[in-house]
Amino acid sequence: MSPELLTAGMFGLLLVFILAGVSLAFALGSVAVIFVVIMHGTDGLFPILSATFANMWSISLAAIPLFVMMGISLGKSKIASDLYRAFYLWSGKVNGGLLVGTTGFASLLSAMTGSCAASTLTTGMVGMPAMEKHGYDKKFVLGTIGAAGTLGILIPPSITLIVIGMSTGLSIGKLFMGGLIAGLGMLAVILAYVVVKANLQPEKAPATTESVPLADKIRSLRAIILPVGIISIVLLSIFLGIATPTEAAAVGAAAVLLAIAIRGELDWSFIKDVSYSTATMSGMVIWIIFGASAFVSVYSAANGINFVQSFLLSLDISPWLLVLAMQVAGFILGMFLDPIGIILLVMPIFMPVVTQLGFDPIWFAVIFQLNLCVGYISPPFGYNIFYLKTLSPQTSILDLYKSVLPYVVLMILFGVFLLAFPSILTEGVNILTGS
Amino acid sequence: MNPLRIIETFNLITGKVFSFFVFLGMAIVVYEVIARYVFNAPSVWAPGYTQRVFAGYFILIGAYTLIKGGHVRVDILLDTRSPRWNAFTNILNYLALVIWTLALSYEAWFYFIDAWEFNELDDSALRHPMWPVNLTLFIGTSLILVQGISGLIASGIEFIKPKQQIKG
Repeated sequence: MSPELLTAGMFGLLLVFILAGVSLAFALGSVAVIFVVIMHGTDGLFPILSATFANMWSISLAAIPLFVMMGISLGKSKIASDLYRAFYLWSGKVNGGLLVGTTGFASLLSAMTGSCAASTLTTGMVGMPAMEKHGYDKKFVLGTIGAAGTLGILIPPSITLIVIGMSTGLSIGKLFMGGLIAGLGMLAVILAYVVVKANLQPEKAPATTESVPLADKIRSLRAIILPVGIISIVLLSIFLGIATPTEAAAVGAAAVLLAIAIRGELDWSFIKDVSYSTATMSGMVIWIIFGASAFVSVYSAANGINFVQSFLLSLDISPWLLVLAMQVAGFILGMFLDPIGIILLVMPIFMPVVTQLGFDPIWFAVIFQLNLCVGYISPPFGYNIFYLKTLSPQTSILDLYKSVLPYVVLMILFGVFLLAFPSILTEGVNILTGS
Repeated sequence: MNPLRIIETFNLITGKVFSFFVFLGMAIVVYEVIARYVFNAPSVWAPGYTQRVFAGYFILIGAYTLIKGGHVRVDILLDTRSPRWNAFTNILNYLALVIWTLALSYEAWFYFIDAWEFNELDDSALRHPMWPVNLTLFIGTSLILVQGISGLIASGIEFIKPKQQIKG
């Protein structure tokens, strides 16, 4: 089969399946099977199995269910609501204060759980009643929660960054550091926007009048120490190269469980709940990885990846334009597909082109990841918009589009800024690693 | 009892039981970390058995995730008001799953037989036999295949004879 026909056929059929509502994992796996049988008959099926086997036998993939379990335990325990209370008490008597606190909470929760859905929904549920009571504008609140909730796939420990590291061979520690720089930068931009807007239109986010005794404020901080402490230790041990991501994840998860046990919340029904939820979430991620690696191995064995790479490199356009085009592709795919699937499909194609053009792969990967976040809240199909809709069913979808739009623009601008000044990421990572 | 229900119940129980492997895996890794970094005495068995525990976990939670609706789908065209169309999209979904997992479990069987006959050993320091891993791969892919076939039959019936929708 010619590479042109193969590319059109495999990606075309994949698109048809996905739009018809076939699960991403099954669409990837079945397209791989169909095309390998067309090309080589049933004798050619072994690569489908070996792709699955290589992943299930990979010790680095074990970090995924462990991080998922750590996040789910934190999210399901009362640590999350205590944490919100701390942010609430400290957000103070300034315009937009509550929303600033909620944004900080949403991004911390998102970083811990690594799940945009979980952090957006939890933040909405614990945070919205208080802000409604104080007369905050609903659209302003929803847009901000949606935007902060997507940062979890960027701020480490991030499962998608682990998958990038695995599929490209880049250092997961360096990717985490890049993700930390970009994620905190993005968070600062969102917070700045909230503060400016709240001061220009105080009626949308009025200052609270209730005063909280300092002692209460300080006491509430205990809730923050634990999760922030555990995450810092996990990240530091990865950054410093003391532990592999899998080891750090296991120790982090054990520490979280221990903390929950000390709080007296670790009963049998909690354990069951965490265990089952971890299984469905990990099952989804892992089986997409199985499907995507089958797809990529068939496509690559039939010379598809070489074909696209030489096509991209033969284009008579500036390398910068090519990088920009690849980033835009990530953003568009991010509106429709799960981030893990996108990474596994396009990173093996894009990454060699990026390095061959002489760009820094960490820089490219981190900005690509930021684009996936943007895709996650972009109208019309971004997943997070639908989570916001479940939080506030009476808000029309059009109003939700309007409420997230400023953040989509801000995130795109921030991405362009990071692209235009590569040294922020490349030098930043170097300084943090001390090399 | 309806055979489709028996399959689903069996897969639910299997998934729930093996979902606890994540705690087992965590315990092994933590044990290894303490043994290596605190007591400076790395264990021989921990790395290989971490791999085995998580390999089993990954493959055996697939069918459970399917039953719980955890495998993400783009839902622009799903859950419409036409039960027949909904049944049709489900048929497509299960068909794709069956095509893939049929190939997986077919190949996994021969992979297991090879490991068994030639007594293949793993690449860890323990050199333990590989066949239990390959057998788990076969069982896991077969379980999700059977669940897929059962879903295919259920949505096929739904497509031919949609349940009456309650008007209102």
